[in-house]
Amino acid sequence: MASGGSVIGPETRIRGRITGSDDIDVRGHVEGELTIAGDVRVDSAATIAANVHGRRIVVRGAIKGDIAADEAITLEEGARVVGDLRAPRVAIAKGGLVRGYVETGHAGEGHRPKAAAQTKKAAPVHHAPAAKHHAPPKPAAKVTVSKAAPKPAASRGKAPPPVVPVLKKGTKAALTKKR
Amino acid sequence: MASTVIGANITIEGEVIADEDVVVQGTIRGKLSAKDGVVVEAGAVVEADVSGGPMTFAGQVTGNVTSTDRVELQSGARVIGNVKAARITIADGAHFKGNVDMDV
Amino acid sequence: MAQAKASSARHLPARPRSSDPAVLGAGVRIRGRISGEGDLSILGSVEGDVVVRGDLNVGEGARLESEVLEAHAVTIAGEVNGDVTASGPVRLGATARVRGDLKGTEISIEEGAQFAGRIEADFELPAGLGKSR
Repeated sequence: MASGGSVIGPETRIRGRITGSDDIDVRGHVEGELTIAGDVRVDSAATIAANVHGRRIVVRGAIKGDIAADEAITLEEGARVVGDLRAPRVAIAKGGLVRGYVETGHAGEGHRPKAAAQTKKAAPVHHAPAAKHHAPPKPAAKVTVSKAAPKPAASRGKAPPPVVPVLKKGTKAALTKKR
Repeated sequence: MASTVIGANITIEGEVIADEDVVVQGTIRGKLSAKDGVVVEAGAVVEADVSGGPMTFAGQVTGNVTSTDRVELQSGARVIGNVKAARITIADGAHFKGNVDMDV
Repeated sequence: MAQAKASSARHLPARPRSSDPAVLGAGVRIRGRISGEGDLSILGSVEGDVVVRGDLNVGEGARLESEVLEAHAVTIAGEVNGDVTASGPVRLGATARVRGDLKGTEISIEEGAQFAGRIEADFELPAGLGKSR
C-alpha cells in the first residue's frame, strides 16, 4: 500500500459515505457510497453495497452497485459485480463476473457532472442508454408534435445530439393522428 | 499493527464498526466502534462517540468515549466529551473538556 | 462450413468439412443470413444474421452487423453491432468495437476494447449483499 493510502480491514464494516482523495484498499464491508479521487482496490473478500467512483478501480470482490472510473475499471478473477460499469477503459479478465450495463469511452460521472455526454471519440457508442443515465431526457409528451424528428435539443439541455432513441419515423405523427 | 487505516484525506460520514484496530488520520463523523485499539493521530478529526479497547488520542475527538481498557490523551490532543475508562492519562499539552468516569 | 445466401459469396465450397473453418476474406461483403455447422471466421463485412454451431471469429478490420448472432465460442477483434449469444466463451480483444448485449459461459474484455451493452453472467452475490437486481 502506498503511504497515505487507506485500508478498510477485513473485520471492518462501514455504513455511510466515504469520500476523499487517498487511494483506498477495501478488504471489509462497505455499505452506502464510496467516492474517491484516487485508486480503489476491492479485495477478493470485500463486499460493497454502494456505488463506487474512483480514478482507477480494480475489483476482485463483490459489489452491488454501479462503478464509474475516471480512467479504468478492471474486473479480475473473483470479481462479482451486479451493476453498471462506466469508464474510458474497461477490462474484464477471465473469471471476472458482471451482470449489468457496461460502457467504455466516457469518464465516470461523479466528480465532473459536466462530462455528461459530449465525449464522442469515434467510439460507436450507443447514446440512448448513456442519456438515460446522465440526464433523463424530458419525455416526449412535453414536446409539441410539429417538431417530429431531429430537433429535440432545445428543451433538453444536456442530452446528446441527434440520436433519437426509440421512436420510429412517423410514430409521433401517427399517435397524434389517433387522438 | 493496525488493520484499518482511515487516511488523512479520507472522510467517513456514518458508522464504523471494526473487529480490529483502527487508526484514524482523516475524518470520521458519526460513530466509531472498535473491538480493539483506536488511535486518533494528530490532524485527525473524530466527531463521533467512540468505543473500543485501548485508545490513544493525538488529534481531535468530539464525542463520548468508552474504553474497556485505557485512554491516553497525548500532547496536542483536543477531546471534548465524557470519557469512561478504567485508566486515563492526560499528557501536558492535551486539551480536555468533559467528565471522567473510571468506575467501570 | 457456412453457407451464405448472398450474391457475393458464390465461391464458397458447397460441401461442409467441419475441420476447416470457413473464412470470409477481407474483401468479401455479404448481405444476408449465414448459418452452418462448423467454425466461421469473418474478415470482411457482413450485414445479416450469423448462426453457426462452431466458433465465430471476427477479425480486426472486419465488420458484422446482425440482429441474431449465435455461435459456440466468439472471439471479436473487429466491429460488431448486435447482440452476441454464445454457448461458449465470448472474448473481446483490444481492437474490438462492439455494441450489443453479450451472453456466454464466460465473458472477457481486453483493455482497449470499446464496448457498450449489457453483460449477463450467471452467478450469485455473497449473502451479505442481498438479492441482486
